Amino acid sequence: MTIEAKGLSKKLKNFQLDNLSFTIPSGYICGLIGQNGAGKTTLLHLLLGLYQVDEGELLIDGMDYAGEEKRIHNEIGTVLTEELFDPSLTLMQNGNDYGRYYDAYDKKAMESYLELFGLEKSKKFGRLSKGEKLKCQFAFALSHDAKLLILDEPTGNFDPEFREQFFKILKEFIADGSRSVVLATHLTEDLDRMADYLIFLEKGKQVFAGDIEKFRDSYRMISGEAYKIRLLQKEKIIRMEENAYGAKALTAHSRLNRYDRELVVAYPTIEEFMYFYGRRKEE
Amino acid sequence: MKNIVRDYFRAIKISRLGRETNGLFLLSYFIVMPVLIGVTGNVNFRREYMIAFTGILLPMALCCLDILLRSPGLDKMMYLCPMSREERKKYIYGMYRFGVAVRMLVSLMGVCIIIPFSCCGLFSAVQILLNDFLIAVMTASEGSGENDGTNKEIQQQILIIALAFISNIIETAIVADELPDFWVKLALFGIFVIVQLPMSLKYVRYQKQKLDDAVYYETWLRRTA
Repeated sequence: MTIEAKGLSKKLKNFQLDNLSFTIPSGYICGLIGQNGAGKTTLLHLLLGLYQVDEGELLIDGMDYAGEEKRIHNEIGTVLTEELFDPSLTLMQNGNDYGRYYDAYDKKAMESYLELFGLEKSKKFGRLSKGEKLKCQFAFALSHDAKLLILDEPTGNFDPEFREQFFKILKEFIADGSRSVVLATHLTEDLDRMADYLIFLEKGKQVFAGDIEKFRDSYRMISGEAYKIRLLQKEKIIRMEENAYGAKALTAHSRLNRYDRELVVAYPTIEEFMYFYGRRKEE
Repeated sequence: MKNIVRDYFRAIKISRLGRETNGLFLLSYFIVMPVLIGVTGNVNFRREYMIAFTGILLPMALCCLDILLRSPGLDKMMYLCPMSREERKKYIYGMYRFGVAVRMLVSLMGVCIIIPFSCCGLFSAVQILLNDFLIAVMTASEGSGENDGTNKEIQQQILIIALAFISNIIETAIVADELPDFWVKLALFGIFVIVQLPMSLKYVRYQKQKLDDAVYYETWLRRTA
């Protein structure tokens, strides 16, 4: 399932998402990153059809929400930080109640995922912990043959053991190449090892959108003596920080760049990139 | 139909009583009601009055409570479920109409309690049902008390309910054989036609706009923010 956005803009009361353009191919795990208030949740709400696009175009597998809302929603599984289910109903009751709207909802699949995640199907949703609620939503998202999973910061509430299971399930989910995942998260080390595509937002604007290899090819983390780093082209240095032992800098990279041998040149992790890029305007 | 019945009763949320607008509304209703009972006076707990109160005012109170405990909008998960705009609109309006039907049924049951009274003629029964209908078609106001639109809507609701309540109080007195009936009934009917009905028709635009806003998550969120 592909997602195409062209010139996507959305104006809210105190915030604006401005001119986003990206294409997430089928079979990819897309990491959506940015500081708090960058616009991640707004973008997810647009992808989920909860918000309507003000300008630009958004196509999910070639369909737009104006004409094909039902078909698109039938293909999407969602895990949001809010509690989507009815707290007074049991997990299976919730699954069956909402599952009746989906063409391919499978009651047995829901039961088996609940069991796999260590959840009791007859327990009321309201009595679960935060992490268990997210697991329940995840079980439901997997139970109706979704082609696209949209996940808003679920992993922060998972225990380490379940996180491994979670990522294993995501890998299996996209294995056939026809499904995609959009995962908004602050736990960037997970994206470093899992994501195929990255969208980085800052204050409603798109800083980067492309596959992870392109991201890695575009930037470098340079460590070493500060004066040697300063010898690099000034316009390429996004942000440099010095301490008693040396300096570290995030730089834009191209194949023509050459670096002093005594400098340590590495791919930036997503976390390093976010940290240095976010502070680029500071003195 | 089975789904609408189930969803209707599941949509009741006791926590809504804590909302600012609902709290203000309930507070005004339950202050106005005892004051008016005192003002209309002569309540000496005769059996006829008790039965009349049960048949007329209790259904009214239950209707108001039912309105306050449910939202015309949907839970967020419903906006994520596969439904076209038309299907969602049909669902919202269907739930609304079912709610009106349930409240009118409660009102009708109340009227059936008082019908055995010789003073409860057809006119009184119809008047009571009409008053209850003006309340039954309402939905809870949404949004914060800082919203001018919400405040105007609440003011209209309180006025409509207060007038219906006063009218029903007087009907209670008629049914309990406390008041001479012909001219009073004529006056009540006149007030209904000249004052209550136009007010309710003016309120209808708030109602329709609210239900239409509930069709989309974004418009509903804007309304309830």
